[in-house]
Amino acid sequence: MLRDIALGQFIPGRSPLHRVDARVKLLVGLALAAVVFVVDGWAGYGALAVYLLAAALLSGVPLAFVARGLRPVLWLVALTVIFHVLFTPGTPLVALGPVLISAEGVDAAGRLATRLLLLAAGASLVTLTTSPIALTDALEWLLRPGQRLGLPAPELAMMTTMALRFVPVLLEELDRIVKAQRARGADFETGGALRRVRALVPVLVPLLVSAFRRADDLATAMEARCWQRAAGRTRWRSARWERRDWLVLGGTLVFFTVLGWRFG
Amino acid sequence: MPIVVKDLHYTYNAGTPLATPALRGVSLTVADGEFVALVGPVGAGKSTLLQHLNGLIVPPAGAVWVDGQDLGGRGVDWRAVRRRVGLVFQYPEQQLFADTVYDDVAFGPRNLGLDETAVARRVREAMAAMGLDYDSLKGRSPFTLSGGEQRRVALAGVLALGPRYLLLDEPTAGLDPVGRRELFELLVRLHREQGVAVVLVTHDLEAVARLAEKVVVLAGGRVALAGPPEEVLGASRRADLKALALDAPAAAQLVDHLRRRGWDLPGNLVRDEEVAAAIARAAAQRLARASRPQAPGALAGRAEAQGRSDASGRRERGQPC
Repeated sequence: MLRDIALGQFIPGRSPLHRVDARVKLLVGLALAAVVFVVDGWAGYGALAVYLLAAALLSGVPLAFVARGLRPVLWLVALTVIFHVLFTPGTPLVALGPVLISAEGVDAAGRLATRLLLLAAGASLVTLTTSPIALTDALEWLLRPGQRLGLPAPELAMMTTMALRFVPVLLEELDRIVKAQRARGADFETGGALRRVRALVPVLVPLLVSAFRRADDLATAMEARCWQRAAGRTRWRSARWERRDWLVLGGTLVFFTVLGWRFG
Repeated sequence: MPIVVKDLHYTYNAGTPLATPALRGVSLTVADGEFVALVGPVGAGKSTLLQHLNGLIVPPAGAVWVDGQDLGGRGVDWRAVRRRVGLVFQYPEQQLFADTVYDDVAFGPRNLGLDETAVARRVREAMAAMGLDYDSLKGRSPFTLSGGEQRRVALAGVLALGPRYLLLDEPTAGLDPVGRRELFELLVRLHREQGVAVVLVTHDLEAVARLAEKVVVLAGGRVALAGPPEEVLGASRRADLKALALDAPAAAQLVDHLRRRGWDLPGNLVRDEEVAAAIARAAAQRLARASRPQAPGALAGRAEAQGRSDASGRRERGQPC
């Protein structure tokens, strides 16, 4: 159950999609977010779905994993579908007393749900095929223009990198503490909401204590290595734009533009 | 009734590209009241195996029976299993959470649904068994104690469940030599006086030789060697141990060394006292064969001194003396 947390779901690999520069994938993801809401029509959604499916197949990541990435947005999708179905006025399909379900409502709900799912699938593919470190570096690159406005992009990137680095560590720790307390007869699965929340205290206290200790150790370790500030640091693996990256980025942007122009 | 493990397999992240097999067909038995040492290189599957023994991991393939109950079956009373089989994780002090030592040790018994008088008795007994002074420590915050004390409080928290089997994952890691010795002594007392079966995961083969009735060597998710310490750690197995990156106990290495130099010593000696006695005996014989007769007391003393100088005189590379 605890393993299902979607963070850090990167699956290492050497597929073409893995090798595309993280910055390209990030830009494509952002472009997807835009085009998904520009395109309006099932043909356009279909084209985007085919594009994403091709990318997923190319990535070698099992489709079940991509689908798992959709789980967190399912609540949002369900909620928007319900609201659209119930509160869109129009030609009535079904009328149950005061509740009226219109054809327009069903149509709008379907469109929005499709858009959200396409977006989530794209985001899921990006995080599945890009290492968190590469992703943060890409984010820093993207935020770099903001430095002129006083945005501490390198520091933000460093913090994100470190935070991501410790997600699996803390998850493992969480798992261990949960097991240790279960070994002492703790029960996290039964009882009412209040009982369950209270049952978490023996887990959260040790987890917090250890997180603070780790943070402290990390700070000491960084100081011992004379760490000063994040700006102007070099990287072991510095990403370089290759022809492949230009092709992917250019091709995708052309494709998206055509879609937006044709089906917008 | 024993804990019986049969052909246990376990893979982490099974069914994903990150799958890593940890156990590949482990079978073993822990008899009631037995002291078992579980040794093996890092990544051998020791900790994974321990977690199967009290049902924290339910076996997907293979079976675990605790006192005749199949942990893979339906309708298992987990609370009863965890009361019978106590598990102490590595660095158990990291699981302390309560405001006071008393409340932390009482966590287990309270989870068992005992009333407060019974809980109080359990806490008192468990703290005593771990050599902790009840009156001065019960009201203190566990976070203000020393590392060694914290560890013993955490152990008391598991003991307070009243387990018949106690599983410990490297309980002495990070302790100083005194703390280590004290902890082992407490375990031995628990084992002898209360008949608690102990499964001890450790890299300390001296302690294994001294304490264990049975040694199980795990490697690559399989049982590589199993048997009484003199057999598993004895001279005939030394090459196997070395292949698994395990060093024989220092006393056994001394025996090896002397045997290579022509001393007549049995190869299956692994405990300090036995080795000392055998060396003293062999030395006395050697001296008796030599021309100058001396008083027996002085002989033994000289023999031991000679044994020591032999050992430190020519060190084998890669073998700590």
